[in-house]
Amino acid sequence: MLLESNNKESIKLRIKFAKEGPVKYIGHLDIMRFFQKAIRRSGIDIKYTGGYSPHQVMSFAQPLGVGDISDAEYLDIEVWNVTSSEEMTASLDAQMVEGLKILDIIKLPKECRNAMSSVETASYELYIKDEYEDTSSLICNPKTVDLLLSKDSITVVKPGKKGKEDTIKEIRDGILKIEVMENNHFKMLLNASSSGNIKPDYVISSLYKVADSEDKYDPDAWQIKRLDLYTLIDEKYVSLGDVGERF
Amino acid sequence: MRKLMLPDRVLMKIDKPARYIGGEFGSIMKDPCKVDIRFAMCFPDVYEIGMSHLGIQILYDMFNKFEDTWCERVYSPWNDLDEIMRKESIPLFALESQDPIKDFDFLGITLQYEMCYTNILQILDLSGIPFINSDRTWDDPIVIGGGPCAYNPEPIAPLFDIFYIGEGETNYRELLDLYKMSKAGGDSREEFLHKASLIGGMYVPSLYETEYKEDGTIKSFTPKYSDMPLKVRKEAVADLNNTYYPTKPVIPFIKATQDRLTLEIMRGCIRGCRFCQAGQLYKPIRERDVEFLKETASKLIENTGHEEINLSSLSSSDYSKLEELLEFLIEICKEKRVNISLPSLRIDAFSLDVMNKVQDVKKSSLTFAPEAGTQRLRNIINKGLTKEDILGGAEMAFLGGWNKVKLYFMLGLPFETKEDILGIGELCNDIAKLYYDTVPKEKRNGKISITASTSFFIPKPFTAFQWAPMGKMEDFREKAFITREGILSQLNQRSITYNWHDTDVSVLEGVFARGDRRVFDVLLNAYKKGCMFDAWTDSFSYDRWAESFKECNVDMNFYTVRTREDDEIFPWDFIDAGVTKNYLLREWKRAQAGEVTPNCRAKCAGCGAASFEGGKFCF
Repeated sequence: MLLESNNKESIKLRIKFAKEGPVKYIGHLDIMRFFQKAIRRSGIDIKYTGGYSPHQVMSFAQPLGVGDISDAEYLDIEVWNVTSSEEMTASLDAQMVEGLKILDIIKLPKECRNAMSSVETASYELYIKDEYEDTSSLICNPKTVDLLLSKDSITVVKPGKKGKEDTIKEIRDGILKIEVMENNHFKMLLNASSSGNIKPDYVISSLYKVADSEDKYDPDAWQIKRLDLYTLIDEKYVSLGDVGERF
Repeated sequence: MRKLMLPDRVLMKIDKPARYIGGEFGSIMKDPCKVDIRFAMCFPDVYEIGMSHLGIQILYDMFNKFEDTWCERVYSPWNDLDEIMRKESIPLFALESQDPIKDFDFLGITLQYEMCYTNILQILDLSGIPFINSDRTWDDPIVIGGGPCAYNPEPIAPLFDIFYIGEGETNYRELLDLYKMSKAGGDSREEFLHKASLIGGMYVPSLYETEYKEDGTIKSFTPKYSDMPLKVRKEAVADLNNTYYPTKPVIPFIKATQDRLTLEIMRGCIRGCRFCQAGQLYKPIRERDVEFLKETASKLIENTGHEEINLSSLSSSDYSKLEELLEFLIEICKEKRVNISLPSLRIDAFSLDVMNKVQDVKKSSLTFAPEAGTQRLRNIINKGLTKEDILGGAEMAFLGGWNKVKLYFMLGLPFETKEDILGIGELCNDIAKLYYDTVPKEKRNGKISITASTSFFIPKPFTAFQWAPMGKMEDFREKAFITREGILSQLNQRSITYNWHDTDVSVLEGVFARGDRRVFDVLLNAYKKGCMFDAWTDSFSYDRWAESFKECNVDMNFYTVRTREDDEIFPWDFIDAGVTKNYLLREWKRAQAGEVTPNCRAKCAGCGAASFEGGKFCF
């Protein structure tokens, strides 16, 4: 690893990875620590911040909850040297464990926004996990979905953290699309921006409510799978993974 | 993908489920059908604590290098999961394969501190293994214990089939070969254990019997078979450069308590402080070659990506090639952006220079461990640190910009007087005064800040103080009070902070450290009352333990405050730890006379460790 020189410019990269299997129980902070070590092992020439306790210039697009899986997670880093997308993907993937897979590394344009602030929407797939009672047929039908989407207002109660009061959250505008798929899976497109993020759980619980089956709702029963994250470029939604170029 | 033992609905409800999934980078997966032996290695505390321990990483690496063996790890489930596992009868499992511990050939448990003993019961309980060794059959794993507490295994003897006394790198291969042969040959479990007792370092408690005198001390300790050793001699690696050292350790998924690389640079200690057990147990003094360490450090940094490295030994300043090693590490760590966590170093020009290079002077503190407040008491405990050493080192440091000092002391040391306790405050004050005398006002980086900490002295086996009485709990509190008053009465008292821990847990530690087999009943009783995770302040309940002692009719004071006679037989006397009882008794007498014993490098004191190979200063 070279110590950076003052006149060299760093290169912005975006790493795309998937997360599934036993590692889904590892929380976001620990995944961050895992990647910090993995990048050091891989020999990637990552940029460090200055100051007394320098750390890697690294930012995740959006944290993934404990228990959730994903086909597309994004992590932006800044480096001093690159080889090729293929080579760097392989060398970082060699530092992974079962369930974490590096899918791609792309170069981002210089003026590119920070991953987290650029996220607008997210697509999800949801289904009942194997070991739970399958109550999906209660809500996984066009009738219930249409009933929900016909409402102007849908509210959920957000439990207050650490003794604070519960808050009421309005989620209707954040639900962009709900699709019913075969074998009782849902596909959803939801607002995922930093100010308007809608958790898929809220949609599921609202569907149970609208189907008069609130007592059947078990939040742990539904597997949340994030399919992709999107940003807005020239008024079009683009996957975060398509914002740059392979090299 | 591996299938997990714990169902999703359990993992989603408990704290830090990543503790229980295994599959970490560096963990080893083997095909169970292709190995002959399944070994479960256990640290009886929660994952984050266990993963900080170097010993298990060394043994894990060693066992997995054997082609016929697969070694996996297991740690104590935290309270929340423990409750669920009992309710739903989920068996305790190893992290890598997620297979039940009960199905393993061996369960190895490391014994690092006495307050984890109730967790051993938890591990056996959740695994479905009978607590008492003689109740087990070939359906149960061989339960084997090792580590420093194995040097007085008697309080937990009924729980173990074998204790491995000493360093684990030497004789496991022989034990595993014997195991395979015994099983193939149709030996009974006791026949196997009998044969195991003939291997060096192996103590089989079920095959020894203790007889007690009327006053409660030990009368005799006899093996069941005549070919069994009367004394079990510890194992020690002769050449630390020619043995196992993991260069690709397992990297925990969650932040371990010690979240960094550990480089063990030597074993044993030349100083001979009379309260220190580790210094005696790990004799003879053996160093690792500096080239070996440089190479290992480089490999570890490459293979792990850890951001901090720390040197481990009992007295790093005594490592002969410390300067060369630190120079190398400072260089490579700067390049690889790895922080160096310095061990406690003797304060001199060299160490100050190193600390300057490695730490932020403004934030870091200088550490001294005088342990006692006066030279008289320091001589009694053979801690060779004089007031001149401390003030001399402090002066150098103050001129170099340091203004934070930490001092460690013990209360309740043998022959301690009130003057000694008051000496603590006086020493702190002298250091504060020195700061103001040394550093002119315009050069000061702020005020001087001195932190004095005291802990309570606990006599340990295989030290000169194994005959000493331990202080009573009420006395400890009073001594802490005297210390505080002594500090508050000093001129510079506003520069001094005093920390002490109200530890009734120290009393329990004192009982188990020098306990015998009768203490086991109390342990079992306390566990059944719900005692567990006793090393954790939130979980420890002194009252429950006190109740257990009462119900079992065992007197704590017999083990703690009682002074031992010179000729008393100790529960651990059957172990040959290298240092002889004669040497320790000599040191106990010298302590009483206030006589200092020079260190090994200056003059050999004939401790007995020379009977082992490889001692650097043994002739």
